[in-house]
Amino acid sequence: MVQVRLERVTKRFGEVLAVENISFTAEEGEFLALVGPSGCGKTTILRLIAGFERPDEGDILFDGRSVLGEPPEARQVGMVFQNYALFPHMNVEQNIAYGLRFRPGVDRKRRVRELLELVDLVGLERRTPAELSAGERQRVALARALAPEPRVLLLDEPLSALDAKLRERLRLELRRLQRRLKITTIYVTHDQEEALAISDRVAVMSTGRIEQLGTPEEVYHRPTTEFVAQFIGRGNLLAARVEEIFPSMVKLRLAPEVVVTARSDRLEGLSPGQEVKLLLRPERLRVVGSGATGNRLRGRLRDVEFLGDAIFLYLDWPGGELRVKLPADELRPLPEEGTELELGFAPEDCYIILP
Amino acid sequence: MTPRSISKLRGLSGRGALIALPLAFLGLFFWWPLARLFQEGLHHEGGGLTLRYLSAVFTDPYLQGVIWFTAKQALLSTLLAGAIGLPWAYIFAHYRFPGRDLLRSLTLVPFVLPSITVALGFVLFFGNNGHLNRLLMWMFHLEGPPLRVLYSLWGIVLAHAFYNAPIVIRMVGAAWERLDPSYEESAQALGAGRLRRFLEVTLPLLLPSLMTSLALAFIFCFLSFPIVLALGGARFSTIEVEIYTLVRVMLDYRLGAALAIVEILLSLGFTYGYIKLEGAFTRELETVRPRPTRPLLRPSPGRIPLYLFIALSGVLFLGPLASVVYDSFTWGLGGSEGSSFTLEWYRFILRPEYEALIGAPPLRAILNSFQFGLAAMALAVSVGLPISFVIARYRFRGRRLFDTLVMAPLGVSSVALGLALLRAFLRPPLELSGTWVAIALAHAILAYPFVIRAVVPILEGLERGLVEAARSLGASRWRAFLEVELPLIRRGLLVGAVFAFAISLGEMSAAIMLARPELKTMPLVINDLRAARSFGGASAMSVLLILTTGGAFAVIERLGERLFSFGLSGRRL
Repeated sequence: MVQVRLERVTKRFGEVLAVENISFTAEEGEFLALVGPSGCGKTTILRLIAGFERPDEGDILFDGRSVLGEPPEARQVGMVFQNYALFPHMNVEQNIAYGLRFRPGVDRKRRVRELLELVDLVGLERRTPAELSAGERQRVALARALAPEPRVLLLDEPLSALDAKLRERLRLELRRLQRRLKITTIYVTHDQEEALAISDRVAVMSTGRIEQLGTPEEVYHRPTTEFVAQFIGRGNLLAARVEEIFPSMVKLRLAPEVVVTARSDRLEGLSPGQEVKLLLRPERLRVVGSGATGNRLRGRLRDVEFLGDAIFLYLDWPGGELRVKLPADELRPLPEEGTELELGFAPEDCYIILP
Repeated sequence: MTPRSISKLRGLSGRGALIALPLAFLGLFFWWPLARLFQEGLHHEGGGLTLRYLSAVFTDPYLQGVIWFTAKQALLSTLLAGAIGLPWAYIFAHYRFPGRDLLRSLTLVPFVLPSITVALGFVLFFGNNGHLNRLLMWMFHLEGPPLRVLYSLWGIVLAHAFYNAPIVIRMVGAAWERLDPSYEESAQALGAGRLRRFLEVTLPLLLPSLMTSLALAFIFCFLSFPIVLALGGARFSTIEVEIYTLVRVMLDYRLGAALAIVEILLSLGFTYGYIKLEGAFTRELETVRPRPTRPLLRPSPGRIPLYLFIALSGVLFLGPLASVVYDSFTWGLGGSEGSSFTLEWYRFILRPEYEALIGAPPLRAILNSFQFGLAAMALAVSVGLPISFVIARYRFRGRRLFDTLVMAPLGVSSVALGLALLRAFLRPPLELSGTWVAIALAHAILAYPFVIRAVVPILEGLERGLVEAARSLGASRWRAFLEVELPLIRRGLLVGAVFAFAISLGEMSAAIMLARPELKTMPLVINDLRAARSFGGASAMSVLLILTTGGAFAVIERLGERLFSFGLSGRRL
């Protein structure tokens, strides 16, 4: 298992800047997710690490040693492609054994057996990829990549071809497997929920750059940029102006009549009159009675979505639309569309994003 | 009776006619002559059943040699076509260069060229006194021609490779472009080097397209006639050419028929095998990422073999064609005697001076070609359209038999078909042998499968409800056809018709079996002029023929038909 480091890596395709001056480190045994919309360069990073692309600038190091001189076949990376790329002319066993032929001194039969047990596919050795279900294919691809004991595991949207239920199950399996093997893993996905659920740390990417790199909690609760706040967890982002600054408190004006209090320990850099963004997570908003005190917003209910375990409310208010997520039993009976509602939230649940 | 069941009844009778009419036509003009052919090859003069002629085919050392040579040249031609086609498929899948799309459509050119013009081009370019030899003699100050490929096995193999490499280029190239690079990258990440990746991943995944294209090339080479006739000289003969020689030169109809029987059985077997092979490879791989291409025009020492290959195959493909065009405008041999631009050859073929060589004025041949072509087109459409409706619309007991009966003509060679038609209608009431009708019939039988191919997909794509809507609005089935279906399938019908016309124009193999001197067509005149070594006139006639068939194929492409896949199933010009 190795530490993987990218140093100031830039990659252009013709005129297009796919990856722009990116540096990050995936620690030994870490599960790192690269998440971002399509075209943000996340797959390119994976292909740079695997060696299928060469960076125009910068360096890629495994345990501090540059691997740029090594072709992909010498880098000992395990890669799972989006379409799995299982060799259709070989059966499961042959697919898994393929990479073992290039590792002398390995007891192939035993290793294949180990991997079949690892991914729970014993008995399917003789099947061809065409005879497997989508979930089985995914596991064969994983077993094939892991068989030669790679130094790092690269996963390119490995669950995107599966339906939602299977995706949730397999991502848990993948997580457990990675914990057990302690293999450095870099995982590319466009699904922010998946990235949060599966990884030790998340790198949120947009247009060739990393917007934020942190633990799932950090990128969710303390996004550093507007893009991250919006991409992760679909937060409500409200335009605000700084009114007054107190120690670990700040008053923000959201609308001519609306002033709220936010608690934050990162107030340096703020000054009165400054335009900022206020992030309110939908699940932190509550419907309150008209007599309540504290932070409040008043809006007209436009839509109600009932999801069984939760309710989504969509409210129009002077600053735009507000999305509210409530536990299903908190609001009964469901309010009529068109009614005026008061929303409250704690100062601790306000998060300020500088433009 | 309810109105519904009445209309059902009427539909039934219409359906019966749709099934019966084309079967009657094919029964009379294909299956009956074929039966006569079998009868002739399996009976004595006196009428008793015999296997004498059939066994002669397998015991006569000369005929054994012919069969062996047919297989050998087909195999070698196929391998050479693969050897030229595979690198080009690689180039198309991995490199970009100006004119790539144009070049890709140029791979169609051999496809649409009547093969007698290709044969002529090879004579002019590769002949001992041909352009290539004269160029090499001039460049290296040689006394005699360095390349003696003509009238040998290699001349035939080279021309067949020219003709069939495009199949490999097209089919394998398309598969290669569609092959997701992640398969090879997976192997690479697992540690496989370049050669192993190619041998263990790329090649197995391309195998379906490679095998099908090679199988197709083999069938075409096995049954090829004009090229072997023109380039084989006196010494080299294949089954096709031998049938022609036995029947038209030696007038040994029974042995010719026996040889044709053997050939028909072989070619039906090949066609069946090909369909099975095609069906066995129905693996469709998903393509997520397109294959990256790199610029071709970036010279480096490592690329010298690549450029050399491109240059050599460029000479192979362009030389013969350029020679035909050049010779049609040139007077004299070039070199020390000098040569000059002339339009004389075109004037000649439009005037009767050539009559002595051909037996009829060349202008007559041009008119013949158009007359036969239009008749063949009309017949092919009349037969192909009802069959298309049956195939696209009707399920009934015996549908498989129907399919076999109407598609089998695809598996019978043109020379064998010509022979069958020649011998089947010697007596009244249908004394067609020696008349132009026999030629038009042969061409119609060769061409109607293309009408089906053009019309069936459109018919199958039509919404079923359209006819029902028309009928619920009061139209009879016939009017619904005329006013709803016909306008919608017009394009396919036109494509099929033009294709039939073009096939008839370029076809020589069946025509040579059936034509009397005054019935000669343009390809036959080219062949006669070539045999008489009157190359200028042959070239001028070839240019006219190429322009006409080329124009027809341009019309088809304009109509949006994918010419390549379309023409693939039975190129027999």
